[in-house]
Amino acid sequence: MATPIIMPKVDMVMEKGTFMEWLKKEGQAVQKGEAIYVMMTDKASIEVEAPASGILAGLSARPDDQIPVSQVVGYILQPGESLPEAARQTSPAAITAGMQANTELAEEVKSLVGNGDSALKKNGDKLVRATPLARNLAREMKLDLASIPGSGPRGRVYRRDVERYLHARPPEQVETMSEVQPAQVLGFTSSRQMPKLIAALPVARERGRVALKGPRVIIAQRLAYSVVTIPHILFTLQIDMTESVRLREKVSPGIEKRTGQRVSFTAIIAHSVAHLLGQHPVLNSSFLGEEIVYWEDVHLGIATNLDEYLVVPVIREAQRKNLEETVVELNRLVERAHSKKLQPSEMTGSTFTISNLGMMGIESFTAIINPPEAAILAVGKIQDAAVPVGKELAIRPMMAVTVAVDHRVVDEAQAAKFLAGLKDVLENPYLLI
Amino acid sequence: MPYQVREVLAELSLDRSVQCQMVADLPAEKLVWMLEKMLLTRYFEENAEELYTRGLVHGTMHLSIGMEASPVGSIAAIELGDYIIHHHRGHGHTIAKGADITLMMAEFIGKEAGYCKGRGGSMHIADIDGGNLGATGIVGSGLPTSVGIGLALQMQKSDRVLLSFFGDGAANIGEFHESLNMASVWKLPMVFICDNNQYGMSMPAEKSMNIRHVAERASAYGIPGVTVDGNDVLAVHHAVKKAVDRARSGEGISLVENLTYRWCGHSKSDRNLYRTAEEIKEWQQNDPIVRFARLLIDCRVITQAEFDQFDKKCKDAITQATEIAATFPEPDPRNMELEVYAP
Amino acid sequence: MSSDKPEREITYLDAVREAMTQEMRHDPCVFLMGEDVGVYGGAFGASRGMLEEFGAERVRDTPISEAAIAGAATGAAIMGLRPIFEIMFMDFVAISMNQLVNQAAKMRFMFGGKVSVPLVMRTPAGSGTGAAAQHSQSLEAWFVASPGIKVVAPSTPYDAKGLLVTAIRDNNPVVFMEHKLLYRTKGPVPEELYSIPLQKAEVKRPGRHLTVIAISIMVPRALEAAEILAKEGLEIEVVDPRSLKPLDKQTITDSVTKTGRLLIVHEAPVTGGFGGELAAVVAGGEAFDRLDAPIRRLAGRDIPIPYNRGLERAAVPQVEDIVAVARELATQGR
Repeated sequence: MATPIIMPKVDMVMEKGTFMEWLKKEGQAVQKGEAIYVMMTDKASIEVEAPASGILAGLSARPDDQIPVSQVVGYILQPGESLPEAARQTSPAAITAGMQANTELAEEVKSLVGNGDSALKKNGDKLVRATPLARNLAREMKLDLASIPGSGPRGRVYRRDVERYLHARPPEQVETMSEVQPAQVLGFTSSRQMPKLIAALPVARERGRVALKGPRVIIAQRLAYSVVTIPHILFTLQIDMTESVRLREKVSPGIEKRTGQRVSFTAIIAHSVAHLLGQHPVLNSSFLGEEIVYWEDVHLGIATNLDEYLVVPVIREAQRKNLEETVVELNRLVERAHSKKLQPSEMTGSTFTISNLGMMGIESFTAIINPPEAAILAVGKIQDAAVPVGKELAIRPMMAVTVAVDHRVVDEAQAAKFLAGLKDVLENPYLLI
Repeated sequence: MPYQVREVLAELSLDRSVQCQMVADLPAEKLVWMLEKMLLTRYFEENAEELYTRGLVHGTMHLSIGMEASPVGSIAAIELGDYIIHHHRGHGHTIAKGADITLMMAEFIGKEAGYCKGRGGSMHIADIDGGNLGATGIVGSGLPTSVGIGLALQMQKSDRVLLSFFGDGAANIGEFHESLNMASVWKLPMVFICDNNQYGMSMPAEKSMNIRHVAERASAYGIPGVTVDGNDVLAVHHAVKKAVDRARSGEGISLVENLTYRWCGHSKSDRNLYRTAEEIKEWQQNDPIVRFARLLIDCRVITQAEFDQFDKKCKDAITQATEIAATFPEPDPRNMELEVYAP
Repeated sequence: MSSDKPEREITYLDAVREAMTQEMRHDPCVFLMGEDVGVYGGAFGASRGMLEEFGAERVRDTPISEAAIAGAATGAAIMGLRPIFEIMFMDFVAISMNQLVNQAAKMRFMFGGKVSVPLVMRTPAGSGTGAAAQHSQSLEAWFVASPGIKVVAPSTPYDAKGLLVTAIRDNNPVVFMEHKLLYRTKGPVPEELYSIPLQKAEVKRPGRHLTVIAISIMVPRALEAAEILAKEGLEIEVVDPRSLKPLDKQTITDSVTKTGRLLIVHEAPVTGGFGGELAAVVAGGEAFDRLDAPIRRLAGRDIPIPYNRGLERAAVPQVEDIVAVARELATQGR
């Protein structure tokens, strides 16, 4: 009769042993008392001896199997013997995994998840619970933390609550960055006063009249203010977009697959500028009369043309976003702009602006700085041109960029370095990785 | 009640003839060396006490006045390149192992120039370059560490030995057993020496163990064990020398118990409530330095005048060391974190 | 790990043995001692075969004397040898504490920088094998709290080999904690000798929504939880500090700055555990202003490890616990 080889009980509390390895093979002859396999208990590993002499057969245990005490793991056959029926089946190996949901465990998890202390801040007489991040954001946006409803336990304010609050505010409450009426700068007592005093109207038939209202007013004021008060100087550079074109081809499929969004050159340029400004903080600043503020974050305004007027939605903290995130955010903002869903908070607070008229066929142009920023980048269309490469002529996709800077804050060398840096990054996009 | 002096002398003291033979067997320089080291220790300790009463010492101290023969006699039995590891009552051990008195005093008063840069203090004085591998403040903690030192000496096939000193109190700590057992199994080149001053702080030895002599425990480890009159520096030297030779020959460890007595309390906060003034006085009549000086004079190794000279020389050395050490700068408390880890 | 050929995969246990063996081949001062490390090959098999290669002097069986073993290592180390000693179950380290904490950790400082103590204590730790209260603990916090001792807890075979080599070469006492359940895990390990520097955490899995700092056995559990949560669109970043002391604070701060949320997971009991140290490091550092939710610890319950399998499982964080807490922390306020 075949002699079974079992998992032995080697200490008082053992119920299962872990099978480690066979020391002999199926079909090998063994002597009684010889070590044939290694098992492990919780304390130590043990070599199990053959209970009889003969041939090893029907070895069913595999390494790491958890085997209950006294279960058969193989047989020793005498010449002429064959395996019993039961041995032909595969041996059970796995422990029953997973336990019932333990009510004590559920309690513990709940306790971890339920309460929590958050930073408390005195705001007048009222204690406000808010996360540090929410607190910072509120401070940055000059909001009263106490008036922001919090969605967390005991009214804790999260970043999301601050953002929602910003979006929900009616437009009138948005502060303008400049209190000074631009018209006053020019000597007009009313912004609506037309410059009759400076030039006479032509004698011509009127086609129609439209009152200036809404965003047009603000745009008119801002642009006039900007041109009058900010000394602009302009710098232009031609950039070979070959590598950026290649980059776009390479990353577009993956990004489109993951996000459903198309990768535009504007996104690539925006992403490059956002990461480059960290090395050129002068162009990411604001002139405040007595001081210059250098901003840590790059909130990128992207000039977007709608039919009636121009809007400038803002990609916040653009320097923290990777290319994919920039693409997603940019497309989201542009889509909202076109569907007239942009909130005031999405259109304010930029620290640098990019205007891309390439899709309109414009080769190059100059843009007016959006106060209180210190610079603006105007991007033209990418078109093939014959350019010298070495001693030969080659056809390359070239793009003209023009940066206008506030000369009170930025000097020529700094602007030149920024543009050179931009050229470098767009011509060698892998520098940003 | 500890052993009365006459009990100890009756049981352990050597015959006069034996003692004179020992004197004759040793070169005069060695005998004088022993005398001087004992005197230096005595004056160092007395000076330390004085500094303390004058409020000049931070912390406490564990003085070994009256016990000088044990470390000096033991260390006289080893060579310059051999090692010792000792304990909180280890000023005598440090002096006998050749420490510079000034640097030792500097460490004692916490100066940057001290052996441990003021970081260790009285309880942790170590002169590593001189083979003095440090004192430990936790009773018995030096024992397992000393096993490691002995192990290294054996594995490095060095012919050096280690003397591992401990007190009667440490003889009862668990680590004592683990250490002697392991060292005896591996036959390490070391000697375990018990400075038995008969008290573990306030606990008399006879109340803390069920045997009469610590050396009896040697049989538990299969090693030789001997109890000697710890106030007879030559007896100590003789016993330790035998054990050192055995260790150096690779035969293994031994246990030597030097039965002595401490005159001062355990530390400065000890008010000696656990023993009588008579007892202390009785043992002060058994002064190891006085006994040895008298023996040397009787054996005509030195004259009384020469003894007075040594005495003065040692006293002055301590005074001078103290004065110099007091002028050393205090250590800088910044950047101590950089001293914790080796680069 | 820059070669293109496929790495061979070995177990964590094999990786530990390989580190010791290869280092002992090239530095004659290194030796191993402990209970049953020689003839038996180590209670868990860590030193199997080493006695045959190095002999009884360098692979040294000792009596059951944890204090003397630790002390012997200390004494040998100050004399210039580089001992590795194994404490069979981390729970037993309590017997060695006097030598480790009062001698080894302090001798360099106490003796004014005149000695160094280059020893390594290797010890199997952790629960999950039914070994009950006195054979299942993870006591890393004791040593983190002792100046003079470095603490390493690798979670993969690759990390185990590289960090053990570094620990052996370090001139200070290092506690090298091996979780028993990790012994049989497999991973790619280069055949040649290499070392991983201390104080270098590793981001085992990048993510944007939540940082999970996990210790030892909790690293694979956190990775499993992250995989589950990825299907729900949550990206969990798993950071493995690897060396607990000295700690790579920069990697941890950068991660929390990025995600704004932190969950710390370890097996040792939550009260007084290493997680408190991590939480304070983060809350007191630059990442504070980017926190958008409270810092959470998910750790062992404040109980001795019970014997019964279900109770044992319930005593420490499991994958499903990490999933639940991570999910909540990643989504609250979002």
